[in-house]
Amino acid sequence: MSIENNNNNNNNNNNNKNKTWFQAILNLDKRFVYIFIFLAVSLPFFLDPVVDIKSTKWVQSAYDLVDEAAQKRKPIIIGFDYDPATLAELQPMAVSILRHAFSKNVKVVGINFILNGTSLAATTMENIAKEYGKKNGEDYAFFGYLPQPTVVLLNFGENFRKSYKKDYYGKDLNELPMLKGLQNFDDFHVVFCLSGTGLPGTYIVYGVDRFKFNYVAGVTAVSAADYYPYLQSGQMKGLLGGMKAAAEYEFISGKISDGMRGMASQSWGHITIIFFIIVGNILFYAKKRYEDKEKNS
Amino acid sequence: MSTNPWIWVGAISTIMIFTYLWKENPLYRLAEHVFVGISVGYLICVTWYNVLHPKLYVPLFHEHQWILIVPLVMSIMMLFRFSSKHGWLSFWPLAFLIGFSGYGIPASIDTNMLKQIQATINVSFAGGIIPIITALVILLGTLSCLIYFYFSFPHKGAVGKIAKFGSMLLMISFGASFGYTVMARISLLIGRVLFLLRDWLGVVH
Repeated sequence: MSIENNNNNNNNNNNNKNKTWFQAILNLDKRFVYIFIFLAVSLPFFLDPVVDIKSTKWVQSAYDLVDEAAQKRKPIIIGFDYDPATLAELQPMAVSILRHAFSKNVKVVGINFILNGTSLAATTMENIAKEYGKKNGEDYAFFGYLPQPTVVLLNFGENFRKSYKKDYYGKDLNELPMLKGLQNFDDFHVVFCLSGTGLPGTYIVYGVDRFKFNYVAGVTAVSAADYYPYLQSGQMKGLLGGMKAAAEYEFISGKISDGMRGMASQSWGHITIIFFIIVGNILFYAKKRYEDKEKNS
Repeated sequence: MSTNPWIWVGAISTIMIFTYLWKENPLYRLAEHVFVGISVGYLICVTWYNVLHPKLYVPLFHEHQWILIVPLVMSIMMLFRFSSKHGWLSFWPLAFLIGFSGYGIPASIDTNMLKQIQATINVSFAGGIIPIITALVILLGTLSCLIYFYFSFPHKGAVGKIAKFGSMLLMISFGASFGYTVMARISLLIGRVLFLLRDWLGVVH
């Protein structure tokens, strides 16, 4: 009798141990997960941060369009349609494209439809222009913010002076030397729209399909999947999706910056998340099996 | 470590927002309210200097373009939205806006439907094995997904199998979208971490 009791006690102890073990891990405080992810993202910055990257067809295509602009001596348009919320993904793209354009003496016109990103766009253009000794009004121009992108894009197809009279700094557009002879989308080789909103789609509806120009969208990774159909239909000539695309652009142009630096952290962050997903699933099934066994016994 | 006070403001604000990960607390609340307040203030300033001043105030009051009284009155009417008694006045400018958005309907149909259908029909099978596979995936994928959302037939037999294939493709696309979402969120964290480590602390270069 006493031996049976001992066995039962031992079984109960083992079961309780298993139960507490499962429960402890399954009820792991989510803040531990945050700590692991934070470490996975931050530690690679202290190590060699460069990850081997291969460019995709659509990023290469965007890069080639800027090269073509340099050969044809035509300016390009960049829509800086992002704000601090999507800065981490879209700013590296903007910086890479600007560096590429300025290094090839391609003139750049910046526009903006996202109000909270206006001064961000102006500062980005100014800083990169300084790196290459480019001057406002001669090598680049920033038109600033305007609401109602639909109306502005339709006007831009005819003459951008219909919507924009002065630039962001209050100068009359007719006084800017780089804008002489420029009138509408036809005078620019490629238009980029960098945005985490639905604006890249608006550019297609009110711009590309009406006025037929080379168009590349730079979007956040969340919305990248939505834009692939426009590549197949030829409405977009290139697509930059998330920080990885920025890294690819940096890789092609040979200028390592925030995009490529972030890739090691990106990989380790993903590995950590995959690890937690796998462990969570294993524990879920183990717990289910354990509970079924307990029911049967 | 940075000596720029604005970097410090940015870093401290970031940390205050991150404290929410521990639990809801007054520091997070403070940062949230400051952010909302500053955003609205910034929005008002930029709207005035970039839009209202050059496009309404100067042309109307300095250049006497009286036609601009119409949008001015309509804008003021829009503000009656906040009044329960006179809220109906805001319907007029709203009707104008909705009417104008009708302009986009044919353009949207052309861009998002007709051009996409055309591209799917004209998919190219030329250029080797990979383009053929790609074209087949596009063609069969589109058709099977359309059949999945076609409810006039019961999803049984061949139709059921095609619909199931379509639903599998949809699951794959949802998985890809979710993967992209994870990537986006990690990217945002990377941006902040890099700002704290490089721009603020200066421990990485």
